[in-house]
Amino acid sequence: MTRACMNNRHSTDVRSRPGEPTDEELLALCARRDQRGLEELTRRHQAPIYGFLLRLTGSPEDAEEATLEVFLRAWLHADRFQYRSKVSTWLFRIAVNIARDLHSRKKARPQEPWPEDEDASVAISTGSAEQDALEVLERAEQSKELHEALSRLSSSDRELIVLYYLNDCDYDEIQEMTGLSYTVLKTRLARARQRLRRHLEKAQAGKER
Amino acid sequence: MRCRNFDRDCADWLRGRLSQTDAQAMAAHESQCAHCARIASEERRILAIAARQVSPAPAADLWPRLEQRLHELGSNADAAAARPLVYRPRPFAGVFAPIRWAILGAAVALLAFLIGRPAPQQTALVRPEDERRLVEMIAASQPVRYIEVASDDTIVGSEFDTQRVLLVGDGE
Repeated sequence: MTRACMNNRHSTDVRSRPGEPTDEELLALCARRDQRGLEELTRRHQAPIYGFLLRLTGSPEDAEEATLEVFLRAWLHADRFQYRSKVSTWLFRIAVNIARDLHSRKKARPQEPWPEDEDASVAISTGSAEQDALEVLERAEQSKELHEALSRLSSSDRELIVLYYLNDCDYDEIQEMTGLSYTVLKTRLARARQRLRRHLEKAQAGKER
Repeated sequence: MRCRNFDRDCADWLRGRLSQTDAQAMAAHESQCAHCARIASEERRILAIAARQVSPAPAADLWPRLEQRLHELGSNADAAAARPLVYRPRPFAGVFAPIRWAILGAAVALLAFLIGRPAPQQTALVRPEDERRLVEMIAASQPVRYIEVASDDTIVGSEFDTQRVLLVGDGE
């Protein structure tokens, strides 16, 4: 499975196969209350939306519920979509709002352990089996460090870091999703990054001790 | 280039999102400044870890559950559609109404008190735009009021001191 990436690897506003409807066409079907539109839209976008929400909430159950809520809201508000942004960006914007809503209700940071990175075992088989195993271990360790550092950030910092680093979004997309101005976004992202680095450095120092 | 700007633009630079001129300036600064070289090294490590992350997928296709939700929603769909789509924080939404009104009343009283009291005496608070005045004060060895703020906007300390102001900077 590919990484949830808004920009290019998950560009869904083009027909992935000839004859397949675009996201806009599927959303237009939703606006006309045709469930086939929502079904296809869900199958196309559930993985990246779920992945994003899992990273924000830290709980697979919450992430699944929130993902369902994203598509439910998209269905209910499909007629309000302005066709000025990509459908995927709009869905992520809804996801951001739901995650904020969820956080304000729970007032808690992710406490549950982050799911193991299943694909960490898919190592590039270049050297010996021992080398491969070491590499897999190292990657799993780094992945755990990153997720632990993420879980120590505030929800707003985590939101920006996940969108920037893990979803590979550019500033325009993050602006659309979060409603922040360019200047505010740059400043907040810079501070969030500093905090992330601090947490990672602490984790690194703890390991070396 | 200032260290603060390097820190702000470092990730964009390493992801190839800066112009050639800016990228060259970043590279030049990295080679001259040990502090920023460390930032760049850590940023490279974060980008490498992030690039290797795989997006987790839900355990099963969510459509059957969504279809069930739509079915349950049924005739209430219009009411649900009328709810705002954009998140708006509702402070104190979960607080019992009389307590909410008491908090509001206290806030109004505090506001009235703050507006009604005499204006505090102007202190020699140093801001970036006061830089020239600050330099004059330091040159004249006058004690300068400084406020030290951490990166998360919390105030670390404040005092009248000239020497300390000379030491506190952004690393340049």
